[in-house]
Amino acid sequence: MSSNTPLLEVEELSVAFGGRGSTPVRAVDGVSFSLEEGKVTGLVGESGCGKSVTSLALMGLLPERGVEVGGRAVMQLPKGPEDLLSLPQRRMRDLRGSQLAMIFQDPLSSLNPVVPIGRQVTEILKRHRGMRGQAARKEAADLLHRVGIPDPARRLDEYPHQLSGGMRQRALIAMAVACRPKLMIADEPTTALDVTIQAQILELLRDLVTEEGTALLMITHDLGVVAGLCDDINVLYAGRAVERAPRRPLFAEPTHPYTVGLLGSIPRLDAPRGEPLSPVRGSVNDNIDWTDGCAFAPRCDHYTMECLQGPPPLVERGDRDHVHRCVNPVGNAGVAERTTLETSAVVGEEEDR
Amino acid sequence: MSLLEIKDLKVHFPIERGVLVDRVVGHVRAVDGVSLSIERGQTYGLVGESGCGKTTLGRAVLRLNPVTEGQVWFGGNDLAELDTETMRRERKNLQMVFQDPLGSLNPRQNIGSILMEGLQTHGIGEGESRSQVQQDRHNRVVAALERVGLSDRALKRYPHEFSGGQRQRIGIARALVLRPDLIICDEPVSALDVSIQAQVLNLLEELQDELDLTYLVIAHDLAVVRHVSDVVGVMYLGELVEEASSDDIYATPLHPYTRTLMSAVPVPDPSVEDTRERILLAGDLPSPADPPAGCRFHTRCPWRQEERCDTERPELRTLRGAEPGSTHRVACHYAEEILSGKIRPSEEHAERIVSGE
Amino acid sequence: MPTTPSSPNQSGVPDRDEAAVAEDGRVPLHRRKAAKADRLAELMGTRVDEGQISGIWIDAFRRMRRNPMAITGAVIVVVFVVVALLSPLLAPYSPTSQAWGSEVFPNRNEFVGPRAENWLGLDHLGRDLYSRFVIGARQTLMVGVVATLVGFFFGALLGGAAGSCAVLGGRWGARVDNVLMRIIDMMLALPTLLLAVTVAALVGPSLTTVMLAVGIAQIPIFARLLRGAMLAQGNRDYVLAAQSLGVRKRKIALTHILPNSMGPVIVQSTLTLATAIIDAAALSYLGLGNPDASSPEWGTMLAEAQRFLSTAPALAVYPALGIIITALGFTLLGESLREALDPKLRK
Repeated sequence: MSSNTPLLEVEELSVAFGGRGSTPVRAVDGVSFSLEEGKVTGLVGESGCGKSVTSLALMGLLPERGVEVGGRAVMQLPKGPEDLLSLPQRRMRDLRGSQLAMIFQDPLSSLNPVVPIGRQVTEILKRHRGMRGQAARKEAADLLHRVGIPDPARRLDEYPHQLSGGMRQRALIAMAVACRPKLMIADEPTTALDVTIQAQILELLRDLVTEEGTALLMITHDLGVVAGLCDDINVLYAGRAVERAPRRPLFAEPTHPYTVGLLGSIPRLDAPRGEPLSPVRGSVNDNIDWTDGCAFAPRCDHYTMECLQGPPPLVERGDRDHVHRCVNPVGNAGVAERTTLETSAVVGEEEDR
Repeated sequence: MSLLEIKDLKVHFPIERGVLVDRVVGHVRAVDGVSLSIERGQTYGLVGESGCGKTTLGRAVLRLNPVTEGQVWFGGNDLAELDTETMRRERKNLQMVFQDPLGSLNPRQNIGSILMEGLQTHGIGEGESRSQVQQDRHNRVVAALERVGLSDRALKRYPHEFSGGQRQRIGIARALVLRPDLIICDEPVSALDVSIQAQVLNLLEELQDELDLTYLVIAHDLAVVRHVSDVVGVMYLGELVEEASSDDIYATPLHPYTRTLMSAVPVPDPSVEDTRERILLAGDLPSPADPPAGCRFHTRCPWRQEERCDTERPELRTLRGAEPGSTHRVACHYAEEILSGKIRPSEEHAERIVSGE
Repeated sequence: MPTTPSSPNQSGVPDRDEAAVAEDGRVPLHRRKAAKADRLAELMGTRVDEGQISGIWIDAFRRMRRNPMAITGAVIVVVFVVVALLSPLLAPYSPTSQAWGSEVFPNRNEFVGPRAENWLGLDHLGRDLYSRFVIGARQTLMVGVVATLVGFFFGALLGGAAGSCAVLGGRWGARVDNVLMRIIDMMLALPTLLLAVTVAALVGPSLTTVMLAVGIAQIPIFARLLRGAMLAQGNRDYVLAAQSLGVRKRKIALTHILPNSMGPVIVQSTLTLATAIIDAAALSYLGLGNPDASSPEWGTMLAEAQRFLSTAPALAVYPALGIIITALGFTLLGESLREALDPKLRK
């Protein structure tokens, strides 16, 4: 495949819930990003920002009733590019597992509790790769070994509850990579796990991406996870991307006040002690409609009248890679009104040491 | 004298089996011999992964869990020895903030009644007549609410009408209204959104400055604990493996587990992430019902040595040759050798070690 | 700097005249600030619902109002209750009067169907079927309500005791709970009908027998349900929070755990009303019901009609339909109430 066409190009994806009678809720509203092979793209945001809905929409896992999906998601499939959002359900079922795979937050509830791990893995091999009997079993054991499960032959006959949380997540990853999918979507894969286990799983994902050349869409609320893993990062707020950049510029020079606020909210292990954090005020529910203006304005310390006049567009900032949706970004904001933000901006620059 | 002093605390939960009559077939050693002390006005941070017994420890201090053995000295009393009724009264001096802000508020009580309950229970409130007492209580409740940044309009509303951060503020107000000496915060921010976490952490610090509070903060997130605490204790499988001031523990982590834990915490900075040391542990946490003999961490320790680690349980001690008065304590036989680099982590005991620059 | 999110515009002084000045672009800074804060408050104002107090039950009621299932159930139940309460006024004739006895000859298969003076026709003794049906509704309602109350009261007592012992009683509480639950298990093991027949055999057939028998059979269901709900609530953090506040255990059980556990029990009682009506009919059908002809009960009527099923099926159809529709009404109401209270479906 040519290197300049990305594996998956998502354009203006939108998802609206609710239908008859009530006004539809726009959970995702015009999100665009692209995924390349061997690269990790991150979707970062807090609860309700639409990151999980995005992943479900791409996988075709949203309920059909009462949901309206708009936009395009063109994926380069072996038989040529196709729009995932307009494929019929039957085609999507074939693609899921073979070309697309998903890893969920809670490994226990995503595994069938009454079927041994081995059967759950071989089922996928049977469905998508036509493997049977001993061959499938051997391949399943290889897969478990590949994701770092010790003594895989014995584990094949165990049930999900017999495995620890970390092992379950590994088993789930083994099932996801069983058919060497081109694209993996990981929705908060480490949130339910302990830090030391999280480190193991992240290392495993990193290996899979570099060795197999899989494209990974990493969905998380944890900026720390993103910093170590993702190549490109989209910060989502209230259903729209508010900033998109490669990871280094994003962390070094965040421009959207929300990104700056998020970075200022995280206590850092390596930061000098005694400095209070500089959080974003209010809560994620305190926003206005994007059609009225910037949804973040109520929580923003230096919103202006311009922020409240219609939806702010995505603007490129100097180079093409770094875009933000802000009419008054940090860095060249109106000097008079940014005193409160000064502290967090300073923290942001110190990180670059 | 320390405000709270825990001596050799053990909490063992019996594992019972049986159809009609339950037989005890073993014990889960959730907390197995922990000693620590908290000074007035300080924040003590207890960190560890799930299943290490940190929550059990916090609850045992309040006697919400039965104490199997050991002493909990608080204000001249051994809480572990008090009878139920005295303990119940003593609870006005020790309060708790819970992890799940919604779950810890009764959905059928409005905020006013939630905050009033503690005052009523302990008969707090000054005044001659009933109505004066009521008024005094009302004033205290409103004061506590305003302290945590909510207005008295909240009084008549119900928990589900608030956002996660506001609910946690209500939980903190409930603890504050009794003016306790010690507040135990069990994972106070882990159920909250990132931007809200920082608000609550800042609030806790402000309250400490204003009201001279003492905190025992229990959390799994080392960065959070280090940020708020003066002293940090690291727990593994029911015991304290290292205890030091917040700065020391970051500058020179001595115990292999602390080092691993620290190396696993992601830092939101790509340049740090790309270069820092990462130690990946092999395997999982052993069962607390059947903890390994000797050092509890030896089954996963990359620095593990022959013999002594498997058989002899290390004590929490200061380093040999440390300056007198040092508060940095560690439970590892080979802490000095590991610190000086004489013993190197071995690849065969760890899944992978990515060394930093 | 904790601020209430609902009031993010601390600096905002609402003043429309000054906001208008902002249009020329060069106005003092504080005016501009006020103007933008105004605008923000305006945009946010549409979504702030001020002072709307809503509880679980009010929420459930709102949801049920939009549910056709709940409305159907409610209509049936209301009609049934009204008919039952007003039955003496609604019944044109006495239920025992055999005024038309000379027109009905069961042995010759001569029955009288619906006509102007007897809307549902006559029964086998020449009594007005409509009057008996309406009076029967009252008996049926009474059996259902009393049986449910018996089950609810004793079941809740047992279950509540077991539940609070298990949650708060420590080691001894667990034992008390164990003993109570084994007793309930034994009750549960007895089939309803067998239990009812036994009670009836001891006391003799009467309406009280039926009510007692059906009620006793419901006790273990209520007990288990309440205990289960209490155990689930007992593990919630707010119980721990109340304990750490130092609230007395008795008070925790009564004011915290119990009110939060009542939801499923109340739903169950509407469902039990339906089963109680059916069970009572079954018992009456078996001849354990009230033998007194002056207070007919739908089950008894059905039992009497059975003999003439092949020649006059209408005699059986009316009481049967009454039982079915009433039971359906209570079931619909109960199920939709359960759905409306389901925390998973609530926002």
